[in-house]
Amino acid sequence: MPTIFDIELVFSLIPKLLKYLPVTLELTVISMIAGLLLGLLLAIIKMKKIPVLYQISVVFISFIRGTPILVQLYLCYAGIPLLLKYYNYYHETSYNVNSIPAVFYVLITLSLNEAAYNSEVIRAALLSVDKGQTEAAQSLGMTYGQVLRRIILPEAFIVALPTLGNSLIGLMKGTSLAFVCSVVEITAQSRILAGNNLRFFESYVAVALIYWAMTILIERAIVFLEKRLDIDFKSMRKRKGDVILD
Amino acid sequence: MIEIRGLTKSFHPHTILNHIDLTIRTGEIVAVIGSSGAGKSTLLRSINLLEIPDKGTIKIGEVKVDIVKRTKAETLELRKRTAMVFQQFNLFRQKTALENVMEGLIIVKKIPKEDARKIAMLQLEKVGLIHRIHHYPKQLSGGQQQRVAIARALAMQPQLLLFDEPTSALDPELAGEVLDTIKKTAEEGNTMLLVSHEMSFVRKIATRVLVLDQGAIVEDGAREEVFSNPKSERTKQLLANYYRDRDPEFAI
Ligand SMILES: Nc1ncnc2c1ncn2[C@@H]1O[C@H](COP(=O)(O)OP(=O)(O)O)[C@@H](O)[C@H]1O
Ligand SMILES: [Mg+2]
Repeated sequence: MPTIFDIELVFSLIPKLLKYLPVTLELTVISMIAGLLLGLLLAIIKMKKIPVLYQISVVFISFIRGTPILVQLYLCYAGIPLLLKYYNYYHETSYNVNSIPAVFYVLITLSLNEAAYNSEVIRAALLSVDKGQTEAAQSLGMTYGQVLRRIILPEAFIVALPTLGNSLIGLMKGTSLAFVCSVVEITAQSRILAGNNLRFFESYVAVALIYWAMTILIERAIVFLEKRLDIDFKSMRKRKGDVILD
Repeated sequence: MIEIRGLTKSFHPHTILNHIDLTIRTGEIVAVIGSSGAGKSTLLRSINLLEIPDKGTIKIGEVKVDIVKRTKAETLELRKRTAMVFQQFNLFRQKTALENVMEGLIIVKKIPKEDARKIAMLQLEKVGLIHRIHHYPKQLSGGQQQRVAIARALAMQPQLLLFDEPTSALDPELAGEVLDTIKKTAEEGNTMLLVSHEMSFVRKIATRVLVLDQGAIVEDGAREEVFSNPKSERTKQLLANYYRDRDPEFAI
């Protein structure tokens, strides 16, 4: 009887897939950072109701939430070269569409997507910081930027951490879409390997195990971070480092 | 010297402060009394622009700001010259007592971290909390939190200290330690504008008493003068409770 499911193959495929894990991680980390920064910007625009930008951000967020990410990726892939052509035409430049690496489209799509979803989480977290702290900081003579950076963000971060952790996991799994733009990360590589040896199931099991393990790792990291940020824990550590006994 | 002229603030449609003129000399301890809703908090908040008045001018030291024409830099400058102690303490929750006091020194005054730490330790020692420097606000009692807030305000060396009912949120047993701290602050020659319902405390530390009623100053005089010989009806009403509690024979 032929081997129906070759479990050994699964384990020998995992190292081959892991070679492409850096690509997956790179897509995840860059998109997350860009998504957080842009999400913060959108959150502030919405909170401060900045004219024009406010309307634009409302439409943008609604659009992102209302369309599949795969379609957004197609739009980027087809739309950005178009924009470049327009730019070349009106500025008499000759930038080459082909010089844009495929990974760029993936990063743009994932970042924009992440920003739209994160902005609501960030906005809620920013609003959860009580006004008293903000006023105390302002009354010391801090600028809005300083209040935001020093007082509001550190507290809002703790509030948003669990939700942002979930969003990071979603994003990590979402990078599997990159194969649409022929960026080879672990999912794309699993298809390539499967195509070579025609053991599709084993290949997909191997890649699934990697995603699963990564997800568990991120979950653990978030829990660890939450513990480190706990006030009683922080206070204990600081007291240990000091000679003053309590 | 602090000079406030024509300070007006309304929360539509009510006028909360109506053309307030007030001069405070350096070293004066000015108590503001008045019933709830009289505009006491609004007055203090308007002085350091947490509330933006409709018009008026505020002069602290050599900085004079016309509210209507104020710039961002002037707003910050006024805030640097004043420091506020809030009813609800308003400490930074993610910072220890020490970090709370250091924050303004480092970020606003740009004092190097090590020096800021020394100043903060000194201030915390003065309010009796040297053994609590690494505690976070939620690990401190209300009275301790308010003393940290006072240390935070004092560390900035403001030309005017604003206290908005600093003990109203505290149990009577805890209010005492905060009142003692404020008294010490007053004795050190700080200029203070203090809103308080603790009449006996006001009588102990204030050099001057203002009575605010419906957005106007209805009484303004030296402490003893106001307490023993109030001119306005409003002041008499406000003091009636104080005298009744203090000396039952006065009440009929
Ligand atoms: N942000 C605000 N919006 C609208 N009305 C306000 C606001 N803050 C204060 N007020 C009103 O202004 C009046 C004076 O308030 P406040 O200065 O807090 O009084 P006090 O501190 O003397 O009790 C009150 O009638 C209050 O309802
Ligand atoms: Mg008040």
